[in-house]
Amino acid sequence: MRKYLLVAKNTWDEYMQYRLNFVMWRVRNVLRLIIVYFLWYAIFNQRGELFGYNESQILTYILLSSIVASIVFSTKTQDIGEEINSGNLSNLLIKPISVFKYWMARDLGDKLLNIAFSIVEVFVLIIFFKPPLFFQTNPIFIFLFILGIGFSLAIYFLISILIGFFGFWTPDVWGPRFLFYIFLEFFAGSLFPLDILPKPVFSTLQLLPFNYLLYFPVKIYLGQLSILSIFEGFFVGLVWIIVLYLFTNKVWFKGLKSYGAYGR
Amino acid sequence: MVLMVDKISYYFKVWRLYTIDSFSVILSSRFSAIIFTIAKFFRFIFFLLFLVFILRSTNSLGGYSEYEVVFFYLTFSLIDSVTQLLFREVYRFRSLIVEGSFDYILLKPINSLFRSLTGGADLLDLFMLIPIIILLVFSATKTGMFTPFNTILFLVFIFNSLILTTAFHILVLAIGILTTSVDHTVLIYRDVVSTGRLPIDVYREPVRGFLTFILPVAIVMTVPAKAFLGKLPIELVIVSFIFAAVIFIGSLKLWRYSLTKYSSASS
Repeated sequence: MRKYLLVAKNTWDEYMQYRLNFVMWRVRNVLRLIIVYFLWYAIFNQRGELFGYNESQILTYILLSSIVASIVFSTKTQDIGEEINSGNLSNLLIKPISVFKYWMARDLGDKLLNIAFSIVEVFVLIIFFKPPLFFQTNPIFIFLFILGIGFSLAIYFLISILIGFFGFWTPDVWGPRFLFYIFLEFFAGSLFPLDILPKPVFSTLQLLPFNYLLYFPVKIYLGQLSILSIFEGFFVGLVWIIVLYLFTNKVWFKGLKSYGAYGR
Repeated sequence: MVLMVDKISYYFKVWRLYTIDSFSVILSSRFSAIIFTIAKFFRFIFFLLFLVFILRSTNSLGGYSEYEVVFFYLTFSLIDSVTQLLFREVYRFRSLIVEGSFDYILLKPINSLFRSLTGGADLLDLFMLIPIIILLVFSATKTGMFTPFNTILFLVFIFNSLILTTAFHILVLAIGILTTSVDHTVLIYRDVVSTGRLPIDVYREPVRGFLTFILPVAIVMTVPAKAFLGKLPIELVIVSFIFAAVIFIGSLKLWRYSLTKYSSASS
């Protein structure tokens, strides 16, 4: 356990070494948040309710989904494809550590730093723009919200490393990841709550894993899902985690067989 | 005059050769090229559908009608895609500075800024321009403002916007030489200009003022569409041209200064 904590700490130290890059990355996140926030602010201008949301609910949704996105989407697993292509994966394979746990530890360091910054940024924006916000007081919803984030973390981690495994078969690892990011932008719920979409589209999206990354936990926090819908969501999310886990393992072992350690 | 024409013709030939080379490199990895093109197309179409969907329920946004808002978004997409097409090489500039390979560019008998800025045009963005222009013309007709005068005005301001985006990319290159940081600077530029996907009037003060006068996104992305729709105040017309001229000259000065600070490290 200690060695993985050390890996997480090293990740943190790496960011501290390249502080300007990290600050710029956070500036980009704030800009994205401001764009979406003002878009919704303009949409709700002088309107009481739209798509079943009032202004405070939608602005809370946008700000909270930004914090959840910082927790879920901050990852070091985007480097996996490059590690495979450059042959650096060999350095990990010969060490007495689990490669998966190593990447999880890297993610932990990354996420802790991003969470800290994200909370401060959203807090500053709240003070600056004074939006009407909704605060959940029911401890059950808060608990289920945190549990929902746990599901999001697992699903995102598995999808992200799965995309990285493209590196076993092609040097073009950024194309599939770029496409994945585009789908995330629209179908995870960071730009808008997915339930504003027409019912057939929304029902289809509920079957995809993207839905569980942002939309599902934030909706739990807002208290807009019944207990039955929440448990249905957890069930489908759990099925996705199991399917992705089994598939990731299969691809990993298949990939290792074709891994040539080129560049080493 | 003849000398000037000769020089332009020479640089056009050089640009064409660079572009053919760069496209050959892209085609050598067809899988990646196809995936990137599909992803860009999805990004463009998803946001457009999202806007249309929202506007079907609200009828207007920031005082603009459905087709006007769509026209703003398509104007943004046009300027952004042309800029991406022309200045893709900027994204590869950092490695030249870090590795010291910029020396080879300085030694060549062509302008080093020209090479660094336009030496790797991305023709994949040309495919994106087709649906953008078709939809732009369609939405322009729907706004009821599609007249020859407005179209000329629109094109003049698009040209002004491209001068500004050129200046921003020169600034990114100059900052790249001075700090060796290019990747994040250019991505921040992209995030900042993406605020122009919507009419700038949507944003509240002080953000609106900031995006107009400090980081002139409004001038780059919003002014051409506003001019077309006849909603551009005369003072903003003057400010737009002055800003473009000042920032362009300033960027060239910074570029020249940055060259004097190039250390040729690692070469």
